[in-house]
Amino acid sequence: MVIIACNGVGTPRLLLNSISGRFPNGLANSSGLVGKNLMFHPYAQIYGYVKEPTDSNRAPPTCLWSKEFYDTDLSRGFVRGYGIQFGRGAGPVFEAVASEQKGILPWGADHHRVFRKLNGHRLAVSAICEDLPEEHNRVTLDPVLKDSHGIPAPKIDYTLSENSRKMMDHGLARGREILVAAGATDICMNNPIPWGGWHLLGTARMGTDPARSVVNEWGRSHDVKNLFIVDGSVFVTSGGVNPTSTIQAIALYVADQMKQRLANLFD
Amino acid sequence: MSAANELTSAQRDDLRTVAAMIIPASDAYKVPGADDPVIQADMLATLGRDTAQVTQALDHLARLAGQPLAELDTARREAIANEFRATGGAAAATLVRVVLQCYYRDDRVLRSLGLELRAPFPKGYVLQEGDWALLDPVKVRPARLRRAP
Repeated sequence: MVIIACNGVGTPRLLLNSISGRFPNGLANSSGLVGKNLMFHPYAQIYGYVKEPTDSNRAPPTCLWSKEFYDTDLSRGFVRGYGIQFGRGAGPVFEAVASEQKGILPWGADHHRVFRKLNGHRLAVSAICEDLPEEHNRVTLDPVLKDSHGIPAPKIDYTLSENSRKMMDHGLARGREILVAAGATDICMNNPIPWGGWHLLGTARMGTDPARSVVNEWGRSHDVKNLFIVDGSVFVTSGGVNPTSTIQAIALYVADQMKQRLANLFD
Repeated sequence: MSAANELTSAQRDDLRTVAAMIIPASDAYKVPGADDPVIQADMLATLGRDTAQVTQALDHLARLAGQPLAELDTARREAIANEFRATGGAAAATLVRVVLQCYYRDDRVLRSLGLELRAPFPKGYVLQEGDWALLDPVKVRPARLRRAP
């Protein structure tokens, strides 16, 4: 039995590199979907500074969630939705580095006054958006780039969809309303945030139809009966939430299925 | 090898000078500047994987200044600093980050910000129970998400 857990880029890279006479298009790829439907979580963030202390040096920076805009409401101009993460800053080093880069924390004599106004007063609203599965967003093998063992590197093609862009704009507008209502000043945006949310999902999707999925509903490859995948590549949709817990749940579920089906696991 | 040995004496001098330009000492807030010897020693001791970028930034700074930064008059130094920020790219950004992260973990600086020199949790601190009435509307609202069978 082979169990792959190499994430939404590593898993398709491994499968696509595993060509043979029997699997000329890569292992487990009779559907042609290995590497396709790559999904991320584009984050749109808006933040400002309030007079009240936000306790940014205490516990996790993400302190409150809202699912108000999580489900589809076509009147918003897009399908699916996003979760809102409220943040309160993350201590002095983060605040100093982020604010200097953003140009709101000056060098020189005024640095200390401005820093004391910003540090511990940040209020951030981030929309974690549900990317849709689109086949043109994909992982393939790079025709030129190879790793130190001479194995082809992954090549990623991804375009932020119009749907996700509308979702992000909607999230920013709601965030701005919240910040204005809270009396925040020095409002800044990161759209998308460059340092997070690029979770790797969807490139070996799960399903019952071998023509439209790579693994079956309990994680076994449709094509190779002793091959299982238990990472984020089996996601069919991305959800508007961090995926680690769901990946863990899927891994546990697949392991449980193996145990229950032990007698005829490879049939 | 520590960064103290990897940076030349001239580079260390320029690093100290530019650090003081980013964060000068302040009598009003009773804090040292980023050119403080302890903070400088922290930078050099922990430069690690940032060494190449910081060295590149200091080389760029030296080219712009044409002489030790500390020997320039204030107006010229300010002009060089502005040009450094505008043209220094990722290397300059790395140097600034190194200065800021070492400064804002210094014990004296943290005290001046009213922070204790320890993580707030765990070991001894218990938060008082708050007012959870904010969640009342959530509790009375019908379930909206699909339940797993």
